[in-house]
Amino acid sequence: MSTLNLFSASLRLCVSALKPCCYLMLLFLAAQLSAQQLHFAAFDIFVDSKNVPLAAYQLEFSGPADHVRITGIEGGQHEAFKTPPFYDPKAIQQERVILAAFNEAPATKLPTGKTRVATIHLQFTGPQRPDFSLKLHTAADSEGKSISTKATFTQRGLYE
Amino acid sequence: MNETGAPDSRSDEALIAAVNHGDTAAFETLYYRYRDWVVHMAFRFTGDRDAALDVLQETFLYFSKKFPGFRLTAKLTTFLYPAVRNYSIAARRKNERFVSEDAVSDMPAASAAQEGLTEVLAHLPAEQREVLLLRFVDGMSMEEIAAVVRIPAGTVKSRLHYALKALREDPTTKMLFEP
Amino acid sequence: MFGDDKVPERLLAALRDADKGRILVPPEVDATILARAKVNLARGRKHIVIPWVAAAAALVIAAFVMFTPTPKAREDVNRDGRVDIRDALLLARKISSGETLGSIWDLNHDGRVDHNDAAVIAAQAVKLTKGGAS
Repeated sequence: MSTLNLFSASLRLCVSALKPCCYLMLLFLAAQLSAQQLHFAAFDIFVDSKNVPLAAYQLEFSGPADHVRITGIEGGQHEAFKTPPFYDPKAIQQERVILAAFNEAPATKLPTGKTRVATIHLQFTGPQRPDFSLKLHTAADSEGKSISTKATFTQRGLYE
Repeated sequence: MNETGAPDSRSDEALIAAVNHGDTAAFETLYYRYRDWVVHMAFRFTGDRDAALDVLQETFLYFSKKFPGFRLTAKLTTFLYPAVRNYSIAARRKNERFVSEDAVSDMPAASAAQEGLTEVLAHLPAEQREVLLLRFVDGMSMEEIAAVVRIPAGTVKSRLHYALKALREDPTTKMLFEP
Repeated sequence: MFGDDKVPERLLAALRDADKGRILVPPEVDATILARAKVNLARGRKHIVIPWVAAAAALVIAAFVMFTPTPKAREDVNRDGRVDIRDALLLARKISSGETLGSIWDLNHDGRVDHNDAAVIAAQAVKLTKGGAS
């Protein structure tokens, strides 16, 4: 009987000791699964030239390495920037891309204010959206002069 | 291939570039190239012919709005699949019907095993049936399935495993596993 | 015994049969979808200003970048010490104005100075490795 009690007590002790280990393992597995989760997103890129007609822009969009893959690039909304911008084809395999476009149209046919100039489609892994960054290299008016502008981006849904 | 003309052997990338430059015939080629795939996928999800045709229309109209100004760097099926899936789910919710038994039983069965397979497929969870058909009927790799269905590769393997297990264990379909 | 990644041919054939062509798309449905799609395509095309610039750039970018070493100084049209999209715009404006431009601006060495050369500068500006403005 005492042997049985001893065995029973030992078993209870083992189970108590193993419980936290099991919880930790479950948390670890959940984290691994979350990290592998694949997401798709589209980011609209905007340039705000205020009241100056925008003739050219060049900017850099990037995300964390190993988590992001660019899958497609679209042109913008205004007719002056509807054609897909210039970009390095090697960027498609990477997390960073430099986009640039210009249009020689007269100033009256160029956009002013906040304009969507491109959309970047990409896929990324991980439980939540990583931090992306946008850096404006330069922007120009129709004379080719550098102008003060602001570049921003927003994520949009797939079917907008 | 254009239904009314000679086969068009241009790649999808070349056709998309042509559509970007206003070649509507290139869009037509893409349409006929992927039409049956889209409507099949839609029917898998909706189980309803009319809903599948609606999804076909929604998907290609969505695709047409991407031009000009779009470049594709993955397979076109990878790009279209989420659209087909989501429009199908919306169509099902709208119609509030999904008769999976009808969807898989209106083909005359060639054999008892075929009939059994149809029945077992109808009773599989939708997500397992989806992965099973994408893998062995559409020939997608595990990675491709993970990308289009937007689940981890491990989940793809798991769903496939349970789908095949169900087929192996069912008395009417287990003979399909005999070499 | 088969693993999950390989299944017998019998099962494959049975799965394909089970999934085979239940839906025939009527020709009138094809016609309706294509007609509506073409309206979308035409609507999108109306506002293109210079579509051929991107097409020409796509044709010359890879060949030029891979095979033609280009002196950075020539591409820096505005001489600000950087090669960026403003240089491409300035060269394009010079070309469009009808100004006589020397062969120094024939950046793709095709014997002509035209908008393809402006595209070469743009391609250089967006390169992720050395040469771009970053």
